[in-house]
Amino acid sequence: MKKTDEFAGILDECVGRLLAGESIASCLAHYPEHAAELEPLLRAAEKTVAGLKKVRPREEFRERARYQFQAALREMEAERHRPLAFFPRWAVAVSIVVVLLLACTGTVVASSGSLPDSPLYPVKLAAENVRLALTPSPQGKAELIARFAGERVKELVKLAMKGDGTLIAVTAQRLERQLTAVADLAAGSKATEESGMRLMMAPAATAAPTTVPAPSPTPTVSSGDGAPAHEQWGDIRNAKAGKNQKLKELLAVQVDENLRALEAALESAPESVRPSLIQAIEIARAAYAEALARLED
Amino acid sequence: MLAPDRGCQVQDERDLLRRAQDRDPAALTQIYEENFDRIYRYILLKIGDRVEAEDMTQQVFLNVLRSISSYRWRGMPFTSWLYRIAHNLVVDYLRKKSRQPTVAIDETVPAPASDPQQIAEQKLGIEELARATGRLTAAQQEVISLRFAGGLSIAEVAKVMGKSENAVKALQHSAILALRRTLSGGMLP
Repeated sequence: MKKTDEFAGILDECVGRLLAGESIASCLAHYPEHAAELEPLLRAAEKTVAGLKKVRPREEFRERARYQFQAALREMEAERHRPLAFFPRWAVAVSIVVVLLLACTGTVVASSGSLPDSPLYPVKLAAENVRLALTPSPQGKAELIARFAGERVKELVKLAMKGDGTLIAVTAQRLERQLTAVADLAAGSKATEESGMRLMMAPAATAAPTTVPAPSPTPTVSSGDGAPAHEQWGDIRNAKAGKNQKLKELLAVQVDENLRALEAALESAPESVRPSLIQAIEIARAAYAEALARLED
Repeated sequence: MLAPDRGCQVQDERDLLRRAQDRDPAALTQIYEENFDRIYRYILLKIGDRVEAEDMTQQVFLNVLRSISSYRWRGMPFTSWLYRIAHNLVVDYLRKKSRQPTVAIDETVPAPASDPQQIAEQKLGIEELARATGRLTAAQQEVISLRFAGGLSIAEVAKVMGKSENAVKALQHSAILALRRTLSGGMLP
């Protein structure tokens, strides 16, 4: 037994050397008395290690993953600086609900033009979600989200003028997510429930919602009125193609106006935010194209 | 810096973690860059599916971002925590996968040549590696994944698995013996 332990220790040391790049011959030279027993094992280990060393993530995946990680980092940074960052999230959510109930005070109206760096911005997002929740039809929801996407573009233009590259990236991600939700809703796909639910939940949780679509399990939360999410969104699949026409027209108008607005902003934006804005334009262009393409399907 | 074979110092690791917990983007990026490939290989070896491994690798690091503030230094290497996250995702994935019929790796990989010499000479693909390690016991497989794909030291593997170093060395020994039989003995179908 002890002898076996001793050999396992020697084998491990040799494996460590192999992993560090040493040759089998060099390892065996340290233990000539065990060479016969070690060699075939080290050959198997070397073959395995060599096979694994060749395994590398695909370059396009590596780039995509790095971009999404950096986007999540930027969002985390933005969230850290949000005005209510020191309060528990549930308290923020409750506060937002209270604020919404007091909408007659004008707070919601005042928040409508706010930007992501504004203390009123969470109110603006919460108000959007309330409107979304109060809209019964999938078609109506899709149109509403498309209009919210237009609002994101306006924010991007203003943020470009302010020179805030970090919030441009965060807002672009939010725009992309909304346009994906529009397409999902219109297509009545299974993804609808997930993307829709993420949109519904994100602003209640934070002023800067998660930018990276986490491959989370199917949501089981109800949307607030007690009805299971799948029931609320299930009738989406029955949407008729004709009903998408209005949405297509809306998006077609938006894609022209919004991309033109973003490109105009690019011309006058400070040099420091141009890369972020170019990225945002690419995201918007691709997301609109994807949404329109899916509506055509 | 986090990998022992790169001569990482405990103090350096603690400093890096402290900065990461303070949401220092540079520290978090360093953790990401230094561990990304290894985590990917670890997951890929365990599940043998590149697309799923990509998704799960990405998820590991998003989970790190979300929960690094809750990480508590208890003398355990940070890598233990990192691989624990990856391990949990793998377990969840395999549990879900076992509930749905899928095409097994064995059915997607062409059968290797029957000549043992030819087998020995042919380059191993990840599918074959995954298939070979798939014949190991769960504990042996975990040791090989962590040690060979993740590049962890025996001490770190022991921490991740909650076993003694001697037990891990013994598992490594038996795993390599089994791999040798599978890779060179024509046991692959």
